[in-house]
Formats: sequence, C-alpha cells, structure tokens
Amino acid sequence: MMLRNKAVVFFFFLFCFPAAMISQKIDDDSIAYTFPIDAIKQFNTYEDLESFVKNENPEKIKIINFWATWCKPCVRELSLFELFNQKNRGLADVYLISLDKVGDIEKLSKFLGKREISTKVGLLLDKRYNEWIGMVNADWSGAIPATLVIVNGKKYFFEQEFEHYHDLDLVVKNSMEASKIK
Amino acid sequence: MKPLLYRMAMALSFALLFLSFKDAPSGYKPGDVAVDFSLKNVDGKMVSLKDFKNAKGYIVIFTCNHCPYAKMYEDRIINLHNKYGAEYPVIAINPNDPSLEPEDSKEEMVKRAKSKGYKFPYLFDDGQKVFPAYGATKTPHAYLLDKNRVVKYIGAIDDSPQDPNEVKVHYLEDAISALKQNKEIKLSVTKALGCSIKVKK
Repeated sequence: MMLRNKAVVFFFFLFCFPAAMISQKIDDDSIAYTFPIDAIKQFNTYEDLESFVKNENPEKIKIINFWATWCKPCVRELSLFELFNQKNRGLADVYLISLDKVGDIEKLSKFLGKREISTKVGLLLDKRYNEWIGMVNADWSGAIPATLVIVNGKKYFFEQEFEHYHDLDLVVKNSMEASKIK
Repeated sequence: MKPLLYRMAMALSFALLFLSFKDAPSGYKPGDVAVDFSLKNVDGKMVSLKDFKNAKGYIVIFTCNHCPYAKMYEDRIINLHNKYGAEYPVIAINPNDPSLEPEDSKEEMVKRAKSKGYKFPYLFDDGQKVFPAYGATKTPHAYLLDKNRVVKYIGAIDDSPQDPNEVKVHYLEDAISALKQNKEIKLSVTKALGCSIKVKK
C-alpha cells in the first residue's frame, strides 16, 4: 500500500509537473508577452542606480550590463544576459541598464516584450556622462556594450561584447575567483 | 581529481584574464605625440596630417556612418570645420570594419560625405592600424592635436549628445580656444557614450 502511494506520488511528479509547465507555456504563448513600462526602473543619477543595486539582495552577485536599443552589439548579446539570469537567479542579480532616452521608454518596453526579456531592466537618465562613466570604471571611455560585475563589493569591469554564453559565464566565474584574493 | 583540474583551469583562465587586461593598448594621453598617417579619403586621394601645411593644429575625429551617436554629432562636426577649419581642420576617420558594419563601407562613406557636403576629409582606416595607435574606442571619439601633433585634448565634442541646444560645456571648442590663446586646457580628457569600434575577433 505504502509502496503504491509512493509510486503514485512519483508518477505525479514525473508526469504532472511537466504537463503543468507545458500548459503554462501554452498560456504564455496565447497572450502577447509585454514588458510593462512601469517595470522599467528609472534612475536619475548613477549614484541612485549603484545604491539601489547594492541594497537589493546584498548577498548576491550583481551584473550590470550597459546597453541601448540603438547599439547593435548590445542587442546581439542581450539574449546571453537573459539566459544567464534565468540560469542563475539564486546566485546573481542581472540588471540590463538601458541608456536610451526617456522619450523612447515606450519603444524600449515594446522592444523588451518582443524579445521576451524577463531580466530586470533599468533606464539610466544621468546626463553627466563625463562624471558617471568614470564612476563605473576609471578606464571606461564610454563605448557600449560594457558590463560591470560586483562580487562582495568588489567591482570587475568589461568593456566588450560577449559573443557566446560561455564567455559571459567565464567572466562572472573569474570575477568570483578574483574576489577571493585579497 | 576533477575538482583539482577544475580549480587549475579556473586559475589559468583567471591568469589569462589578467594578462589580457595588461596587454590592452592604452592609447594616447594629453602630451603624447600622435602618429601621422596616410589614409584614403572619400575622393580616392591619400591624406596625411602633414598635407595641411598651414594648419596650427588638427581636429581628428573617429566617427562613422552607422552609429546613432555619430549621427547626432554629424552637423556639429561639420560646423566645427566651418568655424575652425582654416587653422584647425577636421580630419574624420572611420575606424570600423565594414564586413561587420556594412553601413560603414567605403561606398557608403562616399555617399554620406557627398549628401552632407563634407568639406573635410573622411578617411577610411584601412587595416585598422590608426585608431588603436590613438587609443580610440568608440565613435565619435575626438582628438585635438597642436601643429607638432602633440595631443591636447581627448574625448567628447560637448556634454549633450542628444540635444545640441542643451549643451552646457563645449569641451572640444573650449580646448581649441585655450590652445589658440596658448592657455592651459582645463579639461583635457572627457568621457562620453558612443558605439564601440567594430573589429573582427
């Protein structure tokens, strides 16, 4: 009797959960995916952005990608950050920080919806470029895409495009290793 | 055995990461002497800085066709040449590899220069040797050189890429007027957003 119960539970897990997931997927497909404008967090200054990121889940690794809808290499690598976010939710917070204009927020929302982005998105509106770019990293010239990884308060900066998922994954792992060295 | 190998691999890749940081070319700083070059213009002729016999300096701008930030600055670049060109000519250089960005091909450069009536050279960095020597990383990326090719200013044209009417500080023009008056340039390096230069990996 007990054994049969266990078997029932086992089969329940084996079949019912994937079935539930599939039906969920169908539901998702039946409605157009949107990324609400309200979900795009606007930051007036870089300091606001950095303190927000640091205070939200301080135990997690932070990955801040600077991008814009007009930047082709940024758009190319966006799916890698989306995948990284999906695979590492417990470990890391990923932030896609758009440098688009505030007037383009509707365009941005549609763009994110179309690409089924579920990663957190922010819009940095700081016009003091000459000041805040240097706050991210003293050597950054301002070319995008660029990515900042923060592990235990230590910053690692990458002024590059990630071509493959593996490249992004490695950079984060290396930053984690580097953070252990004093 | 596996965790050890994994750790070794991690350590190695970590070391490589740092080596790659170290090897990154840093480019020019104010005070360095910039290299002259010979690059093909949109009219098919080769252009060098030394060709500008009467120049008191040079405004070298790495820019291109495709980048929205370069487009935002295009009219301002044209105006810079109209205003200062007699003494400080604008020399525009497209640093991108057109195989990665077809809009930045030689043919498209010719079209662009013609339609906008560029009165300054728009050169193609064939072989992509000039922009790394200067340390340009994006478009637009401006360099002001004096007549001896000493770098006087590096960075943004002004502080408001999106709206020319909202410019508060004309970084490059301020540097030019200081250079003209033989005064110290207060802000000799500035940062700005731009499109990364397209290079084959």
